Amino acid sequence: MTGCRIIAITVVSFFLLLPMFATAAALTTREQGIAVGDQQVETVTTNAIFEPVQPTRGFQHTVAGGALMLCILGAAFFAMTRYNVPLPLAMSVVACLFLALQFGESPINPVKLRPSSEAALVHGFKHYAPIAILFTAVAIPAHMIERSNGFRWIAAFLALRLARLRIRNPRLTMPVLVFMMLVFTYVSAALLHNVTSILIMTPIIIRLCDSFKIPSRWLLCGALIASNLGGFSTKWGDTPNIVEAGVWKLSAVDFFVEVLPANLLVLTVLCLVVLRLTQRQVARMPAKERGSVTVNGQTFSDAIVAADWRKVLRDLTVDRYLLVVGVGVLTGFILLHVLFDDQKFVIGALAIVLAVALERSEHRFATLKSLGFDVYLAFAAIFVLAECVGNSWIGDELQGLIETTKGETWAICLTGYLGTTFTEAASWATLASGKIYDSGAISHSAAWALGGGICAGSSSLVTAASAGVILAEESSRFKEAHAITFRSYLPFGIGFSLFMLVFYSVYFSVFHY
Amino acid sequence: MSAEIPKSPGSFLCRHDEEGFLEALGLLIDSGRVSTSDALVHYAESAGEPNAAEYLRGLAEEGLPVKLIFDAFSVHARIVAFKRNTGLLEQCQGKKIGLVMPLPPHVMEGFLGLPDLLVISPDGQNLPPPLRRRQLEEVKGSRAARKVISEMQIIVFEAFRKSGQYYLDQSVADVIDLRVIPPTTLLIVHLRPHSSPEDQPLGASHSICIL
Repeated sequence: MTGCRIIAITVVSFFLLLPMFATAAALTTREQGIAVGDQQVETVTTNAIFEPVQPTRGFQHTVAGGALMLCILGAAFFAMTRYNVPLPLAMSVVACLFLALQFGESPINPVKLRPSSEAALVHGFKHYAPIAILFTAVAIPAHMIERSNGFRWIAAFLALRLARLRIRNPRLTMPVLVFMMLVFTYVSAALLHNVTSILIMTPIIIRLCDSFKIPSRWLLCGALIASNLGGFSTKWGDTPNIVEAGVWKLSAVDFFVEVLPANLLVLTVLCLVVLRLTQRQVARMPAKERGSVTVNGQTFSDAIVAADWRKVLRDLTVDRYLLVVGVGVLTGFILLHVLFDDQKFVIGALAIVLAVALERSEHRFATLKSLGFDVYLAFAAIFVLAECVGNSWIGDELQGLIETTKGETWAICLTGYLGTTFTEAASWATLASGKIYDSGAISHSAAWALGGGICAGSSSLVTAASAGVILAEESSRFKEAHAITFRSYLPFGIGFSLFMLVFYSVYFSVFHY
Repeated sequence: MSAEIPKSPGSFLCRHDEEGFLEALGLLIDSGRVSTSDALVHYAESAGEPNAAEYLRGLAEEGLPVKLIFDAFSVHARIVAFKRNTGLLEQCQGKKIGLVMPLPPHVMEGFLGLPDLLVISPDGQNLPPPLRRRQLEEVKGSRAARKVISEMQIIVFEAFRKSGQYYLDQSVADVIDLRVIPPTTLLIVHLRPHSSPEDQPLGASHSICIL
């Protein structure tokens, strides 16, 4: 604790002293070049009615500033992984530190300046507001379906079918379980949201694996990637999609036609890889731990597993009213969102009102808060953080890289991958989308390349996206064998995400939209 | 095989509940894994159910076909279970009964006709939707539930059983406080098939009956 206090005092002292040095450190060679360029612009526009204002560039635009920001971000990810610091807390602290590092002024319009910190805050919340509405519109009916026990009923139904299949044809159990769970995760992420999907699927996968004595490690790792793929397949499936759709004016149909086939291919490969790894792990297990089904006693255990799932189905009470309302509102929102894209916020707002109005009176307020304060806090922090990163040396370098490569698909994909791996999916999408689009990469392929890179990056580390953090938290609630940690996910995540990176780079270069 | 489990009073089976055991045997017969009466007896023995094996062996010696043996055994096991449950309900007559949520509606139905019944809903638990319109005396919240739990003479709740040890959901464990529940109180358990990560062990010296 004393160590933490010393670090906190040092950090605060650093920020108090920093403004004294910030202005002097601001103009590096690169900035001087930019300043010269700005002066030329000023000369050209002196005949205009209003004299354009000159933004001042602070400490955050220096290499030292960028390095400090990366260190802070790295420390936050370390704290989340090593000390289980909650994501909203870590991201909020990082966003506040980044805001404190925003020196200088940014233009509000051609003639007026405001402090960079204020500009980052305003722009961050400008991007956050649409997400808040669209997420809430999906999260409320999704939570209603969850509370109705609808998802559990489907899972128990599938488990019972699988258990019966295991008695008749034991060899099919593992392939069917792997494909069924990954496809279910993919579909639920595509229809709802990848975070909601992983939240629902983690306990289901663990219970099923426990029942059938199949190791859950690879299936859980695969589920995280399946949820990222599902999220990347629909316009509302993940935060980066919503951001990119806003920048490139992408419709829901564009996602279905141009991205879905690529993601289905990756999903098929994912299922095969997960199946192979799980089979290898089972083969290495001691015989008594395996779910071998050839011995009479084991066959009886399998029959008991089926009987248990039958009992779960019988004991489970599905709240039909809540299920109908949840499914109805969600379906209505998705359909109308696809048909009337321009009115998405009206549709989102009406979906929220309808879901809350149709909820039982004693649960209305709780339903409105379905997404949870933590999620709103984390997202607000991530968007502010992204704006701060954009208005820094990191943002300048990114802009430079995009301009140098002239918006090549592979380069966009790679920046998306690296940016997401070392920061976070939503923040990187917010930061990079505008810069890539402004650099002249206005084709859909550019958007898909960025999305593909972000999807691959989100799958690289368990901390690279919100879904991964939730997977780690949820799986750790169960016994140790099921816990997915930073370390246990790393080899699978890095390996498969590199495959995804190469695949998306090639796919969107070959199929140009 | 895990350690021997003391069977619940009035139970025909030692290690399994009747419904699950019958369902499992039925599935084995339907799938063709069990095709002879000897195999059926063998399965019952290997499952650690000597009473069931003995009963099945008696029927097998009469030369009956497998499905008929299973049907006869099924009826017998269900009759034993019915008598046990009826006996339990008779014990409940005239006593203060607390039904601690969550419980499936079909379990609750058996108790709903009893006069001195209190439904106890700990924090985060609600009545199942089919029973929400019934006029039931209900105590909501763990704090309020803890105040009334010691007054109950019979408490019905859900638990998971493994190797003879019972495990309760966190919200149920908050209410089933054995420091305040008198040792004379009868605990009736409805077994759920799967454990939950937040389950708490129940170290009860009270008599426990399985429904």
